[in-house]
Amino acid sequence: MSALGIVFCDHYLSAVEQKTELTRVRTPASVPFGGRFRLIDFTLSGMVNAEIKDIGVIAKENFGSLIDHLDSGAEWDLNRRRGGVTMLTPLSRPESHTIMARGRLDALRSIKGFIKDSRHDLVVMTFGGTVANIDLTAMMEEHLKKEAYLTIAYSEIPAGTGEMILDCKEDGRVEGITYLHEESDKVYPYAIGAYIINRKDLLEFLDESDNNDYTNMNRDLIQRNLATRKIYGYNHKGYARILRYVEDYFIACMDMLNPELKKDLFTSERPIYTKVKDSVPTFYDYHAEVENSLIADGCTIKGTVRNSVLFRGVTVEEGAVVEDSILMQNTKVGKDARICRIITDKDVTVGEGTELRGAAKLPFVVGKGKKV
Amino acid sequence: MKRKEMLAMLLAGGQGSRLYVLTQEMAKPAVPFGGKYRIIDFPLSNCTNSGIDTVGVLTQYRPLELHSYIGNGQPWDLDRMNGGVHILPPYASVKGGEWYAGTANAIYQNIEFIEKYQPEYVLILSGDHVYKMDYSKMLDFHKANKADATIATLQVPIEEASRFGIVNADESDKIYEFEEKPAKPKSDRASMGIYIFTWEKLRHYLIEDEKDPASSKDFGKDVLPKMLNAGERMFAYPFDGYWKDVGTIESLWEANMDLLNPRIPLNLSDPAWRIYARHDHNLMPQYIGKGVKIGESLVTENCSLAGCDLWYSVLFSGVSIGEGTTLNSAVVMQDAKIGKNCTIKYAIIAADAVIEDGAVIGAEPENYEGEWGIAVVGSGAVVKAGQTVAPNEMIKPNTGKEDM
Repeated sequence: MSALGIVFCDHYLSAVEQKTELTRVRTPASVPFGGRFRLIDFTLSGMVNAEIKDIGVIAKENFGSLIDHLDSGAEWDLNRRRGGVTMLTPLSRPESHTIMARGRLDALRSIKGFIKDSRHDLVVMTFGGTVANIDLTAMMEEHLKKEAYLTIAYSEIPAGTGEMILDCKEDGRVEGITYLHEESDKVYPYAIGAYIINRKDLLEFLDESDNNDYTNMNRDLIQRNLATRKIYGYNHKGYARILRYVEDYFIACMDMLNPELKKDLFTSERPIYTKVKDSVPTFYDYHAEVENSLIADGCTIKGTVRNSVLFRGVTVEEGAVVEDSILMQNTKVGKDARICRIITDKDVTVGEGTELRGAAKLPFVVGKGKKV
Repeated sequence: MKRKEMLAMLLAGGQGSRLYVLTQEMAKPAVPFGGKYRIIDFPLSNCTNSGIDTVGVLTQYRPLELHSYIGNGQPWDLDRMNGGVHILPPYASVKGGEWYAGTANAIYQNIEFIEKYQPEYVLILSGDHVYKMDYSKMLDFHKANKADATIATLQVPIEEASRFGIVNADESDKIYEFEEKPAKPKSDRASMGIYIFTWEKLRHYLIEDEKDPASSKDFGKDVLPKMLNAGERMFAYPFDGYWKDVGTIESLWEANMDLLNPRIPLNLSDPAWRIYARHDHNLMPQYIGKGVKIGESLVTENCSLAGCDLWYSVLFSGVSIGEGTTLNSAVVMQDAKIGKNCTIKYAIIAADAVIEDGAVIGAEPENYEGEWGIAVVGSGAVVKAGQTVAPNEMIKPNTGKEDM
């Protein structure tokens, strides 16, 4: 059993691409998460943990920080002579220029040569904006055992608007797909953006797509084949969340303050690797008061921090109070500033004495590099 | 092989016997320091920051940990096509094998390695000092003086000078005398054990010294005095900055505490002079839970604290501390587990040690009756619930303290 990995870095939402303050400056897979990770770490580590070491990463735009993060792939042991990590950007292949990057299927069509050149039996496709530690080994085993055409990972958790819900029979066979039209607390089996297909079948499907100009993966790969092909759901029982909106992001980050959820996502059986930066340990000064917070290295804490997630190199000055907030790399919180339910992107400076408060439902995002 | 102007030879074979239980299972340069470093990170980072891309690391005593730590040299940017880091343990040849008999002999045995790069200069370093230094400035000094040998020196308080190798030099920094731990030192310039030699000269003296049956084959005792007696141009390079020999338990503990003192100029977070280290790639940020009182301390990734008091302490990665435990002036190395209601003061707890509930380790020096010193728990050792480890006491690695 050997597989080629493909990671989609962008959301490819059907209508207008939803951009948040966080994804305006970077591709979704490159959004920082949990104090020291980027979202793509979950899927890349998941693949490496399943011995998938030949991975194409498809990014449409804003992939500067992603390229910087992936570098040679050494941090995931993907700096291999054969295979390793390959960036697949628009126009990166001779066949790319013929196709607009309208969606995932377009993207796949534009890298048909890359898929053809690989020698693996399976193709594992994942969405780089999912926070989940999926056991891809088990998923591949199930795919082979059931002799499936396509296997789709799902999770039984409350889903957001627009999510694809699988209608599965008891044995996991998918009979239909629907979309959620409104927010609900009800638990649905919804697709979390991981698919396995036989490489031969995928190539056939891509040829067919070229001939018929198919453009939509859900409609053309899944819906069209439901009756004739064996499409199965794979139940991922661990933590999962697709991050489409800032609220999702905020909730998922804060979930990591819950030891159970954190342990579930960062299970020692399948470690999550990330790029190492040479930060010093975090220094807590005499006045520091810290409670229930996740804090990365390289921070200097002189003020109060509660229920928050701090990325590398954050400074909280004396008298400052940080509550229910997410502070990304190198955020500086000035003396006596008070912030609550705020997400600061990288390199934000919160001036001395400034007060910032986000809404209960919608945390406020301070964009990259801003001074407030 | 492309020529190198200067390459570095790092002497990392020493046992570090005065670190006792901490070096029982690893060489001194591999000893952890400052939350996420090892001592050898300092010379290696200094090399890469100074533009030296070829480093031979001479190992001998307990090299396993050190070898796997250095690996291909990638963390220090020393994985190079031409040059990079090379581990040089003693080897056997047709004539048989021999251990490195002294610092000079260790370099002598690797003349072939050095010759491959045909360097003009060779920098000799040791792996047991904590400091940040730009060796390229020292090389400029060496060249400007048309020196055959340059020795880095540090000004020490004159009352402490008798603990060091003292270098006596004239106003132009030209050396006229060496004194090894003099009872009445004539100057306060201590040798830091960092030398630059013009390679042609050094090679000559290494070969000569090797022929001398009376020689102990040591740089400080043999090679340097011989060069001076022969009238070679030797200069003392004045270094101004933080430098600490961390060869004893107390100095290692002190150097860790120095990191907590903002007045001491050992800034590890200077972006212009990073200290690189090999890190684990899958660590979580540290988690500070409820009821933690923390101050003047360094804490590293993957630590998990709840309900404890932490003052003037350095925690390496993955340390966990239970509720009701107090730490004061303690150094706790990676993945050590400390239980509930323990009291740990003025102590070094080595990696993977387990301190069970209610244990008492170390004490303040004030008002302590008996011989005070830092208490040390070796790596993987277990201190059982309620046991006491007195100041100056040491628990050997992977053992337990006898039941009382």
